[in-house]
Amino acid sequence: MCYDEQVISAYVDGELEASVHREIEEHIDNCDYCRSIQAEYHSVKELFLAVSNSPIHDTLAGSHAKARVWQQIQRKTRRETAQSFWHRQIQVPLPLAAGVIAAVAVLAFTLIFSPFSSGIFSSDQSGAPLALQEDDSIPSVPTNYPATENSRPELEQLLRFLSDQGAAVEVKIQLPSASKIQVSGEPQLLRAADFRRSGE
Amino acid sequence: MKLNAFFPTLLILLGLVQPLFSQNTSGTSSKELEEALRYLQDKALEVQIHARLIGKDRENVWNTESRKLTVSGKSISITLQGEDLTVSAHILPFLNEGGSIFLVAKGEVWVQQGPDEEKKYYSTVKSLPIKPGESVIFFPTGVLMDTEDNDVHTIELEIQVEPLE
Repeated sequence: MCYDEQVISAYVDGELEASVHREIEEHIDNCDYCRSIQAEYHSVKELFLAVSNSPIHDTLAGSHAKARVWQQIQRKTRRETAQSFWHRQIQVPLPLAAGVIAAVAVLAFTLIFSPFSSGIFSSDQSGAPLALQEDDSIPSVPTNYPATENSRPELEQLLRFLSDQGAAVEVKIQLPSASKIQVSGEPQLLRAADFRRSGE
Repeated sequence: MKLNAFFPTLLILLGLVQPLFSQNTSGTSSKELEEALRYLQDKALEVQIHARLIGKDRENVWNTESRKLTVSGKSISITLQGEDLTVSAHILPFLNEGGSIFLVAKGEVWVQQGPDEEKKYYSTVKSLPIKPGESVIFFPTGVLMDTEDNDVHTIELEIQVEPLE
């Protein structure tokens, strides 16, 4: 019966007890297959021993070699970062991402539907400030807009009134000087029809 | 969540470009102006005021007429100035959705009955739902149905409110 390859590997490395070592040695002398495996392991072991004793081992395992490898890794990483900026992945919290998407949507809506982009304003009208009254407190309603079929004197009067007046419309009436007004009770608000019916 | 770096960059660029457009949107566009005018037109009310002095046997001894435009919820103040009396009537019409009008009238009276007497002040608020064009009469100094004195008068303010057609 042939031995396992790992047992033969341990035999080559001299890791077995003396009695077992002897048994395997006797078997290998009589078994071509196990002898070939033992020869293979032996050649690998000799190769490792040869490398470890050569000057190149110091070069590979030295601190300079590690430093050079790190430098190369860092240089390569930097180059990749610079080349792939537009494809770089960044970590964004989900609420922030939602906010960003909403902001982009609002901006796009503003840009698309702004009067500037839709061409409502002509170049000399866009951004023109409203004219102010003399006291600079109430913006006056522009009255020089082009007349259309729907424009009516009442509306213009209303606009003029709204721009000219303050909080309330004031009507001042001077009563005849000879009149003697009698206060006959508290103020009353009645329908004209009801009042006339009650007087008849 | 992982995002491509392109999107934040695009957002920053849009943020930089957007003010260039927004300075044009701050101005009132003609469309907005038309909408504002239409809104005002829908809310506009025409108020006709007939101020009268009524004497003996309900004789109309003096009258004056005024026509004013206002919008729903904005008052019209009428001040009647006499020798020993000042009447201030505030007419506040509200246009309801159904087309009816709710009229609020506030009357303020400052009166001095005699040269040695103190000046008195009266104030009352009255309200009435009315139809467009319906005549209402506001008596700021009270209702005087009739008087025997030829020199005594009462004030009537006949008011008609109609939506501006």
